[in-house]
Amino acid sequence: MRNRIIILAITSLLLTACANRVANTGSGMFPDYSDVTIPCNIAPLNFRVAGSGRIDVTVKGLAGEYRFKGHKGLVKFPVKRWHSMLEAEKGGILNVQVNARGVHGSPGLCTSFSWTVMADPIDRYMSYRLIEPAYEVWSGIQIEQRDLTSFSTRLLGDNRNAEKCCMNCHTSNRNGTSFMHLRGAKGGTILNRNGKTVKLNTRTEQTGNTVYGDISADGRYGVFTTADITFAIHSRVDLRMEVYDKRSDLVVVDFDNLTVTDSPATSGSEYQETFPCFSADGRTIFFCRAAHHAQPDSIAQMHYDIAVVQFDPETGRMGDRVITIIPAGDNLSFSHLKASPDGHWLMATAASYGTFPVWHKESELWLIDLQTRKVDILQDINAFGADTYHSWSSNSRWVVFASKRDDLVYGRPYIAFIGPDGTVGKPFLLPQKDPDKYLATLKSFNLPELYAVPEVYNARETAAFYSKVQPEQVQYKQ
Amino acid sequence: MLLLLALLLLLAVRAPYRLEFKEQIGIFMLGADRMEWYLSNPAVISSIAGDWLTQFYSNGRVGAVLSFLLFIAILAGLAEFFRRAEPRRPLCLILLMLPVLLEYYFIPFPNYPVSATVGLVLSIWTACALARIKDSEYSCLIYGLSIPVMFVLAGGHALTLALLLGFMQRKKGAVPVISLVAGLALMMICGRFYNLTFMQTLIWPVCPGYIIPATALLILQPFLVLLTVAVSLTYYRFMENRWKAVMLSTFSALLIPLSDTVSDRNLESVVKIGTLAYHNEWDEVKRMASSTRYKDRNMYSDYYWNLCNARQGKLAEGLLQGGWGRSSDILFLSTGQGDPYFSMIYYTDALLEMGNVSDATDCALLAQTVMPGHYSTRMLRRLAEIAVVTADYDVARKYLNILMRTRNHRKWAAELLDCIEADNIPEQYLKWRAGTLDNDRFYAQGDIKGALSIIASESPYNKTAIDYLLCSYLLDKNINSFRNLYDRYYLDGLDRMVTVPELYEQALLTSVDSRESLMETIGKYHISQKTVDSYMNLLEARAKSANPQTSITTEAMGTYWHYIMAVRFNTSEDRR
Repeated sequence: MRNRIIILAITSLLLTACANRVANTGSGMFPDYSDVTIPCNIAPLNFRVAGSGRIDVTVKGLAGEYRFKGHKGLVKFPVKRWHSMLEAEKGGILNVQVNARGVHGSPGLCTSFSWTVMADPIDRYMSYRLIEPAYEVWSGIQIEQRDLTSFSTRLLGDNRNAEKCCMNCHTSNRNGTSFMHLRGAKGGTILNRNGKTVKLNTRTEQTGNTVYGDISADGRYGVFTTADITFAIHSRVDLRMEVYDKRSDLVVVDFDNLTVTDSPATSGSEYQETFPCFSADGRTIFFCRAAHHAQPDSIAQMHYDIAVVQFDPETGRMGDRVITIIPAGDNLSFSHLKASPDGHWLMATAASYGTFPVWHKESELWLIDLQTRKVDILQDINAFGADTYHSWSSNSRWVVFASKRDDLVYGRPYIAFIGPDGTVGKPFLLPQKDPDKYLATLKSFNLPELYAVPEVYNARETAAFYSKVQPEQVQYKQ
Repeated sequence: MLLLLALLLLLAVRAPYRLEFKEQIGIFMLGADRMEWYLSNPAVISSIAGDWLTQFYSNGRVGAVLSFLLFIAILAGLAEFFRRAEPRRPLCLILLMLPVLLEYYFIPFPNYPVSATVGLVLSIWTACALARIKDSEYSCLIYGLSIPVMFVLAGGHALTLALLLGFMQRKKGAVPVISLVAGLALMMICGRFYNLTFMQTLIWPVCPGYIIPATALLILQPFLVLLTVAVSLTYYRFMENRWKAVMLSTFSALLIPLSDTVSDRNLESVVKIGTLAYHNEWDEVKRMASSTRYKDRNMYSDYYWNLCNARQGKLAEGLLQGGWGRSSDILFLSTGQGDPYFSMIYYTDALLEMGNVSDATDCALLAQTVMPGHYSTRMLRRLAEIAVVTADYDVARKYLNILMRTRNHRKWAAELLDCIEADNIPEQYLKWRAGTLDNDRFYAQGDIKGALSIIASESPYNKTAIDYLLCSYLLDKNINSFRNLYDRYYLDGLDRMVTVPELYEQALLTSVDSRESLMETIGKYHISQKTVDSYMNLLEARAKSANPQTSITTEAMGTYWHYIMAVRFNTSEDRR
C-alpha cells in the first residue's frame, strides 16, 4: 500500500512537471515547405502542424502515390521510403495533400501544395557554426558538419574544449581542401588538404591575420582579407551592432610553398578591400572594395563595390589593375562574394552600407551573370530579415544561405535552387529530424557552407590542434 | 537525528535564495529536441532528473527540503554500502565519506547543478546494488564496466562509484584494481567521445570555467581530505567507542564546510536582492539595500539602492545616502569577460530603467550565453520582455514558446503571449518602449556614459537617463561635465518649476573659484538660500579651523562638499 502511494505521488509529480504543452507556433506548417524546390537527395522534409494530432500526408507523383502518417502534430518521414520516393520522382513534381486533425479545439489543417524534385543533387555535406546571437561573446561555439541526405551530424569544432576561443567560418573548396580559423592565444588556421591537416600562422610582419577567404579550385591557393575588425553598438535598438574594418587588404596564401603575398593594387589605406573569392578558372579574384572613410561615424558612407583583379596561378601573384565591375552607388554595399563553380554566376549580399550585413535586416542575395553582368535581385529567394552568407553546391545548382527571416534574430540555413538559366526555386529550411529544434534553440545557424567531400577531422582533433600543435609559419613573399 | 535536522534548517534558513537561484539560471523542458541535447552529453539520467527537480527550487525552502532529501539519500546509500562492505577500519570509512563532504560543501552554490547531486545519489546506490555480487566470479568485469556506464548515466560522479567499488575489492589483489583502472580509462575515453577535456570529464555536469573555476574544485578536494583526516584521528584517539568517533568525525567535518558555504551571508545577500528585484518586490529591495548598507554592503546592494531611487525619480536625492564609490561600481555594473555573472543578470534592470534597450539586449544575451547550459529562464523572460518593448514580436514568441514548455513560467508566458496577440502591451513595457531612440548613433560596447549621452541628447525628457549621467559625473568628481550637462538639460532644457535636487545645487557651488563667480552662480542657477547658507557656513568653518579636513567631516557630513573634498578612492574596494 505504502509503495502504491509513493508511486502515485511520483507519477502525479511527474505529470505536473512534465506537462508539455505544444508550443504555439502560429497556424499552419512549420517549417513552411509548401511549393518548394528540393534536390533529389535531400533528407526528409519533416514538419509540424501546430495544434494538431494525427496527420495524414498523401504525396502523388508520376511514379506513384505515397502515404505517410504523422502523430502528435509531427510528420516524420521514414528516411528510406523518402529517398526511394525522391529517386522515383526525380525531375518531377509531387503533389502533397496534408490532413491534420485538430486537438484541444484547434481547427487542424487541410492543405495541398507541391514539391518540385530536381534531378540535380545537392552536395552531401554542409557545415555551419552554431553561435548565440550575442553581440560580441563566443561562449559555446560549435562548428557542425551535417549530412544533407540524413540527419546525422558531426562536430568539427567545439570551443568548450578549446579554451573558448572564437572559431571562424569553416570554408571548403568542395574538392578536399578546407580551412578554419581559430582565434585566441594558441590560435591559427587549420588547413585540411586531401586528408592531411596542418595548423598555419598566416600572420607575418608585413601582413595581418587572415579573415574571410576562399580557396582556388585546385586547392593550392587561398585568397584572404587581412583586416582590423572592430564593432560599435547602434543606439537604435532594432539595428543592434555594426561590425566594421578599420583597415582591410587582400593577401594570397600559397599552400604548397607556405608563402603569403600581397599587391599594391589591393593594399594601402585609400581603399578597403574584403570578401575575396576566386573565379571558377582561378584566374580572377572578385572582391568588395570601398573608399576609406573614418568609422564608425561615417560608416553609412562605406559602400563596397564589386571589383576584380587578375590572378596568375603560375606565379601566385595578383595583377596591378583593379576594375570595378558592379558599382555600389549611394545606397548599396556588397559583401560575401561567392563565384559559382561553373563560372556562370557570382552571388553577393547587398545591404545599404557597410561590410557586416548579418544585422542588416534589409540584406539580400543578388545574383550576377558573369557573362552579361546582368544583376538579378532574386525576389523569389529573398525575404525581409537578413539573407546573408551563401555557399554554392559544387554543381552550381544549389545555394545555401543563412536567413533571419523567421524571427529577425536567429539565423537558419535555407537552401535554394538556381537553374542554368538563372531561374530560381522557392527556398526551404534545412530539414531537421524534429523541426522543433529551430524553435527551442537559442543558437544561430551561422556561415553555412556546402561541400562534397567530408572533413577528415573532428572537434577533438580541432581542440588538440588548438592547444597542442605549434603552427607552421607562413613566410611573406615580395 | 538532531544534527540532520540542523543541516536542513541551515539550508532552509541561510541559503534559500541561493537554492532558488538554481532555478533561475537553468531550464527544464521536455521534447525530442531537448532530449537530443541530453543524449549528446554525459550524465543523461542525472541531468534529466536533476533539471526536473530544479524546477521545484523556484521556492527556496522547497529547494532546501529537496537538497536535504538528496543528501539523506546519499547518507542512506552510504550507510547501506557500509553495511554490505563491512569496513574494519574507521579511517577507511571516513575517507569514503569524502564525496558526501564535498557534496554538502557545494550544494549551496547557486550554480552547482542539482544534477550533480543526483549523480552522486545514483553512484552510491549503484555501488550498493553492485555490492551484492562482490563474490561473483564476474564481479571484476562488471565493476570495471560499470564505471563508464555510470559516467554516461551520472557524469563525473562515476569516480565515486570507482572509489566505493575499489574499497569493496580492497583485499582481492591486483585484478580488481586493474579492472577499476581500466574502467576509469574507459570513462576518460568516453569523455573524449563527448568532446570533453580530461577536467570536464572528471566533473561533468559541472562546467569548469563558466561559473565555478576548475581550480577551486581541485584545491578544495585535498584540503577537505586533510581536514577530515585530522579531525577524525583526534576523535579516534580520544574516544573509546570507535564507531561513535567515526560518526562524530563525519559530522564535525560536515560542519566545517557548512560554516563556509551555507552561512555565506554575503553571497546570500547578493542573490536575495537580485531575486527580489526579479519578483518585482521593489519595496523589499529598497528596504534590504538600505538595511544592508553598513553591514553586508556590496556593490549590488548599492546598485539596487540607486536603482530603487531612480525608479522613484529620486536618484540624486538618495545618491549619497547609499554607498559611496565610483559610478562604475554603484550606478552601473561591469559586464566584461571575467566579471561576475550576477552583474550581467542584474544590470538589465537598470539599463531598461534608463531607456538603454540596446545595452539591455546585449546584457541579457550575454547573461544567457555565460550560463553553463546556455539557458536561463530568468534571462529568457527578460529577453522576451525586451522583444516586446522593441515590438519584435516574432522573437518574443520564440522565447515565450520556450517558456511555455516549462512548469514555472508557463502562466507568465501565456499571459504575455495573449497580450501580444491582443495588442494589449503592459504599461511598463510601453514606458520602456517610449525611451527607445529613433535616430541612430554609435557608441563603443560597454561605454555606458557614451550611450547615456546619446539617449540624453536624443530624448531630453528621459529624466532617469539624464539623472544617471549627472550622478555618474558627480560620483566620478567630473564637475565640468556635470555642469555642461546640467546647463543643457536642467537650466535650458527643463522648465524652472522642476525641483532641483539639493545635491545638484551643492555640486554647482563647488564649481566656482571666487566670490564673484559664486554670486553669479547662485543667481544663474537660482540656488536655494538653505544650500547657500550651508555652503557659507562650511567655508567659514574651514577658514577658522586649524584642520580643514576635520571641519569638512563635522560640518558637511553627507553633502556633496564632503564627498568631493574628503573622499578619496584608490581602488574600487577603498570606499567610504
